[in-house]
Amino acid sequence: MRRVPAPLIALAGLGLLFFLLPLAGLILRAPWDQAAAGITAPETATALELSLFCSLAATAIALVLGIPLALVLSRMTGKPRKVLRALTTLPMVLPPVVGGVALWLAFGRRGLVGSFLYQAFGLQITFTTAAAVMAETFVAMPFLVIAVEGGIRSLDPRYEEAARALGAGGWMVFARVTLPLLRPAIFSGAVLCWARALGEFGATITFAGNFPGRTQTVPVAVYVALETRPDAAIVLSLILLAVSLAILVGMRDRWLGAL
Amino acid sequence: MSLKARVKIIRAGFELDVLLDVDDGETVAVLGPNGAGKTTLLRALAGLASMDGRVELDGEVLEDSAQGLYVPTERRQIGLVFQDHVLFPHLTVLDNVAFGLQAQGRGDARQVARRWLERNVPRGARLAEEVKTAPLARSHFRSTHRYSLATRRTLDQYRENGYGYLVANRSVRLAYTREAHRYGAEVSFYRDLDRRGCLLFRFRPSEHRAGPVIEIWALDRGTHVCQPPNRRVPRHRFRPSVGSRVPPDDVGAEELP
Amino acid sequence: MGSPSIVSSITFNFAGTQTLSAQLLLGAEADVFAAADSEHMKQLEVAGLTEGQSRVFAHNILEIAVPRGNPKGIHDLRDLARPGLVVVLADPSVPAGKYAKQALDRAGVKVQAASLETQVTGVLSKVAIGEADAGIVYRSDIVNNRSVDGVVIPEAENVIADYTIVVLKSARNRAGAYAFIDLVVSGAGATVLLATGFRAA
Repeated sequence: MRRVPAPLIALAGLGLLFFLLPLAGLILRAPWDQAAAGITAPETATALELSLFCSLAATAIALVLGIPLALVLSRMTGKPRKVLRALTTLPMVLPPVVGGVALWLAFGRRGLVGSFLYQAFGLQITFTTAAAVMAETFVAMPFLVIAVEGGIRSLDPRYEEAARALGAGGWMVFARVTLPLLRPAIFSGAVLCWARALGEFGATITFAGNFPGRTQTVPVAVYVALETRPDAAIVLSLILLAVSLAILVGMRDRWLGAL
Repeated sequence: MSLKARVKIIRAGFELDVLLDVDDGETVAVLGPNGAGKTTLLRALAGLASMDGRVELDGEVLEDSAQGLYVPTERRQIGLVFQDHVLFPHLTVLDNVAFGLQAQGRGDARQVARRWLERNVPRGARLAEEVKTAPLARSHFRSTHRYSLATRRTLDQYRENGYGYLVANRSVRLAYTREAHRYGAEVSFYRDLDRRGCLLFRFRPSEHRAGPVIEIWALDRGTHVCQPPNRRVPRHRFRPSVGSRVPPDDVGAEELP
Repeated sequence: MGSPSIVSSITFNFAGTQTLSAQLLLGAEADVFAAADSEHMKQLEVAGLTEGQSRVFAHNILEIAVPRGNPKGIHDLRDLARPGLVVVLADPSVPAGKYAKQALDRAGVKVQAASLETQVTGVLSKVAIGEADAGIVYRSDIVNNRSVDGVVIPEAENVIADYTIVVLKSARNRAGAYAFIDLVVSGAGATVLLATGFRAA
């Protein structure tokens, strides 16, 4: 390791240890003899499927809404920009359970928007899979917005100017120049967003509740299992860890290369 | 096609105040030291810099700050070649050249671009298939050729769509005179050891093969100054431009082939 | 109430029965443990964490919680199976959920629960905030909460929860522990319990 001062290496080592020890604990203390039973149990598959579906849906929504939001944010200046920035990053600092409470205050049966939906269409959002997706989107989207906004601001503005000078209008500039050049930032933002959505618990259980197959994502299932069947909970945690790791490692090279 | 403009930009520590009156068929070269305002002037003409003033292309007002009129860059018929070519690194050579045509809605943009690439390959550049299909960032397209590619990207744009003006912000030394000649404009430059210039070309392929009138200005600290005629460049006629300061006389001149 | 002088202050740790028993099984220490059912108490006894014999100190029964004014007109367990009704129950891993399931099964009522909360308080809050039309909780939960109304479940269909209490082997203040339990099962203790919706042992 050239040129890294020894004290920094020591601190880095401590940091690494801090991450690795809990993971090591999980792996080493796992009841591997029960692992096979745990993996094939139907509840496991259900929770895993639901988690993957919800987290991917949340990421998709975050991409569709978050990229334009990042674009708007990057073009603003001054006070309005500071305010908007603070609002979009608020879910990152808010305790997830508080986020869940805020969601039902807005979308619950007596909520701001929810009450209208309920009275006009008889639609209740809480306790549905959609609610789980919304909870995950709420906490995870800011990660995408921040990553993409950073990408936009580090983009050479002259590419867009060159495109405009060649006659390309707003949409063509965005679709054929800005967006492709933002690919690395979008990808890393999406991965962060997806990972956060996958692990979301507090907002999900508060706003969407807990029901196997509908709202019981893996983190919720782990929590429920922890008190009565801790071994099952550990196995479930390991499975989630393995799946996340596999996807993160598998995707990396293919998509994250230089342009 | 004429280009008339009054460009006035005042920023902290910088002032630009230029009056431009380029007639049909004329070519103007603007020289000046770094920071004189050449790039700013060109950007203002293309609509990429906020300014006070007015830009009028062939009678059509593109910008008039007094009346709050502003035609966006993409609708001005002014092509711009950037100082660092600014080719799209994520597009292939072909797509780069075709981009401007596609922006104008040409369905056959890629075929047209392919034909031109095959006919007008920049001297010395081998356009192997691989170069045509790989994104520019990963290709081995040499940097000198990238400039000509950028010029081509904009020149073709001009040619097919009747753009009015080509504005090339490039070191005078490296500008492609051969290209310019092909399009019927002759340009000679003042070569200046430590001064770089930018060019305003006006092309009209059929006429003016004998040599257009070229007006050369020097831009110094935001205002243009008079350039004295020089015996060594007989192909130019000079008209005194607006401005009163006499420039320093260490300007060399050289005829380029 | 005649509190003994050996006990100067009492620290309470409130949580769901299954949470507390899980913590104790993992090595947490305390003087006294009270459970909402006898099953978790048995787990601890089997694990050898308890001292002496556990005692039942109170009973609780189930009751249906509905929003103030009972807007959906729930009158008994069978109404909970009404289509379109949003019913929230506690998860069967929780004593209250287990009892609720027992009661519903015995009455032959099939309920499509919208959510299986991990704590009885979760059920209560969902009803209180208006997200659920009904939920099954303990009577003591309803008595102490002013934002919900209760619908009585007849004794014949109801499940009686045995609340048990025991001194733990890890107790540091044994005298205080026994004194506290004596207090709880005494007449004075029963009065307090009754007032808060529990039934005396």
